[in-house]
Amino acid sequence: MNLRFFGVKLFRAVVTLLLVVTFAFVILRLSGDPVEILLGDDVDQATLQHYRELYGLDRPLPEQYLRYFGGIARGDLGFSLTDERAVTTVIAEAVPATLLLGFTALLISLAVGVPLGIIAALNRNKIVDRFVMTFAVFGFSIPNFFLGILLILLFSLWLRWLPSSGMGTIWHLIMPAVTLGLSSAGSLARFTRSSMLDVLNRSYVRTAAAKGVPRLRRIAWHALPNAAIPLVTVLGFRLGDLIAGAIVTETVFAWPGVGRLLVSAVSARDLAVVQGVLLMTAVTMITANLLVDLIYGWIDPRIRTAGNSPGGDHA
Amino acid sequence: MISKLFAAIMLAALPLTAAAADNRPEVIVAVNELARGLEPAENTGNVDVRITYSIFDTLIRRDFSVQGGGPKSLKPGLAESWTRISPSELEVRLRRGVRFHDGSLFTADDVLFTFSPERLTGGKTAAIPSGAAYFGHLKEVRKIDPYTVRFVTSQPDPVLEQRLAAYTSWIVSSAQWQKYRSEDPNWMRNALREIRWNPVGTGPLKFKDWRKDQYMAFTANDDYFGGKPAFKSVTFREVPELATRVAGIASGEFDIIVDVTPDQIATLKRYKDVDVRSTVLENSHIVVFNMSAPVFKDKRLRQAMSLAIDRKKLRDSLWQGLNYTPNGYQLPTFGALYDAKRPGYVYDPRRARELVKASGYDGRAISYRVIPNYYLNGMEAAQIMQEMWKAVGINVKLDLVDSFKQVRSPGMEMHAWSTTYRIPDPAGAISIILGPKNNMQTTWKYFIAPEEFNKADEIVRTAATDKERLAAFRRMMDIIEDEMPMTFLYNALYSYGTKKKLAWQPAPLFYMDFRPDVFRVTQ
Repeated sequence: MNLRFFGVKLFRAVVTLLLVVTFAFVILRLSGDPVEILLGDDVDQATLQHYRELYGLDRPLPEQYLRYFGGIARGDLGFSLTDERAVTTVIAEAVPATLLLGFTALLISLAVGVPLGIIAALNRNKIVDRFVMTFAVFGFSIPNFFLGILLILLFSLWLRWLPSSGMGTIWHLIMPAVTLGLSSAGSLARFTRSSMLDVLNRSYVRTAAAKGVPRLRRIAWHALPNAAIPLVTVLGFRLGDLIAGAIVTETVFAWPGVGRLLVSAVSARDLAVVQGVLLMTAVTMITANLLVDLIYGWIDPRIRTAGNSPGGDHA
Repeated sequence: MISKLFAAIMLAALPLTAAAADNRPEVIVAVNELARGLEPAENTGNVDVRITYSIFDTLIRRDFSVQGGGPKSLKPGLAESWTRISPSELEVRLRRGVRFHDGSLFTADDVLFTFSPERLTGGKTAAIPSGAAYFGHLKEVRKIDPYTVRFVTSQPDPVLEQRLAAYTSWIVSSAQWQKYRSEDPNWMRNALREIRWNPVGTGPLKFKDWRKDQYMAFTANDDYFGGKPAFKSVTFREVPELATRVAGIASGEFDIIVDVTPDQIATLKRYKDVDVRSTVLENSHIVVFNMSAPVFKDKRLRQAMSLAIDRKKLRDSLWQGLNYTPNGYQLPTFGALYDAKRPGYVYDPRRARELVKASGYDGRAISYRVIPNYYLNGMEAAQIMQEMWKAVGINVKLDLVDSFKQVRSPGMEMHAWSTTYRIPDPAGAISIILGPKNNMQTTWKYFIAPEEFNKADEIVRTAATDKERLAAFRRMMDIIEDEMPMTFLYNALYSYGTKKKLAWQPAPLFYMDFRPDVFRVTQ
């Protein structure tokens, strides 16, 4: 890993962050007056003006923008307009729930998607393959809110096995994690299948077969590591998605994570919180992409020396 | 030996009897959104008062079960009794021996602090600037003795008793606030940051803890002056998705769910142990016409637009016919000021067509600004009305906007709005929305009021007798039904799903009342 490679990546990351923050700032300021939304429609103008002054929203936009950046540089993301707590506190409260849900879902999607993809590839064009691929298409095309509500109807309402919503016990985790996990398991299965098919026809796999290497060992040692490169790309996306990728699922299951926080902050025009969440999402995305690049270098030495990644830049 | 055995059995049985003694339910309420803060005057939105209403008490309490409203619907809360000294003075005797949740005694000092200029009535420098809209005219609250106070207003206020039973009148603990007092002139704003999430009141709900986006938990205040609550605890859980709330009450996880839309009522009624309780809110959905807009220069066009609306059809198709349209800018709960015989806003398409012709309307498209999803059924109503207006020859185009700032940007011709009756009296509704100091007349100039209207408004707000006030109020309604700065569609329906065994009735405001005289458990 040379320094220039890393430097370019880092520079791009910073530019991306700048763009995200600026974009969020402009869009949110344009789309509505936070004070009006906070205080309601029937408050007199003097009071509205007083609150605008109190929160610095009466200043010219460029000044507000610079102040906001100054704050970020000091690690201060400001205060939530709705409850006046520090944005960092508000976000820190929501992150553990989201990580718990996200990682569980990721495990489910790996545990379901990768084996299914392998099975489909090994049984290419047979009935098993068709069956698995139908499931995969179903998995990633069914909307999360629909699958979520179906699960609630089945397991909460009809069977009464699982709680419909909220967070607390392991039972609360099952339905949202399955909802989230199944949708990415579908696409993961498709990726695994196609990249397995690709490497199964490569000469080194055929050579291994000719040398008499047992089938299981051939798949696990020769095919899988090579098929893993595109998978890492997909997983990088998923990792980046962890923070803000569960908005719908979190809403349906009343899961108190970052997605929910973002929805409520947007509808309340709670600028500081929205910007904080976006910033954090961008940081996760960028970090995930950097990680992917590093992992590429590790599993495929050719990438390191070329100084560029085959997966492209996802930031 | 036998006595020892007996004692052991008794001891073992003790926890059992103790448990049996408190078999009150632990109530779970699934709400669409939790309160945004628990300071009772600071946050007065639907999602806030639903919870704060049972943490805090008012001096005077409005009994929603009394038909017809008026003074007879007012009963003692933290006040024992009250007497009029003059049109602008009210003396209130306080209940003795009431304790706040933190154990401190309730006295006149708490009332003085609650209504103090620095907390509530001082306008934009107060900790709660919006309080002035309700009590800006309160000159002072005088302490006569530790259990007697006198409210003095700067002008006669015939409905002060009603105001003390309504929004922003919840009594807070002075002692709790004083703990945060400092030299800093902004100490109250800083105190709010703490107090907002640590409410200390006198009501049946005693705050336990909360988690943002998750829950707010309360235990029963067993020393409540109105009697021991019928529940052991009440927890509000945030469940934003209606389908999830419906599944949760059907499966038995929740005891009460809020915000049930009319189309879900039939679904919920299918479950044996679930009941739907609805209330028609003291909030009217209206259409505002801009009298300053060139297209509406002739009032006959505004009158025609009102006459073209078939309100019964709207109610039947959108609200399953479960709500009503008020007959004028008034409610039956206005008591002596209710004009029962008034026909109100009628449907007469033939007359509407005549008026359209007479007004010289040239057929150009009139813009109707609507914020989608702001009001329940607001979009649907707009689309249906668009057809009704078309039927009488008026061409309306729907302009969907994002906020009220955009609604009121230049070019406003008509928009969807609602009006809440803050107190059951014209002084809490028509005077606030259309009065001479309100935005409708001043900032936006959508209502160009005849001089006579503002004179009548003065009488409604300050005259001492019901007779004078009613005559003036009728005149105000006559004027707005003729000038037509707005027309009324209906009052919105609000429904809860609830376990049948919980006997309680929703109020026509967003309050949920957990006091023992309203909230009971039947077996």
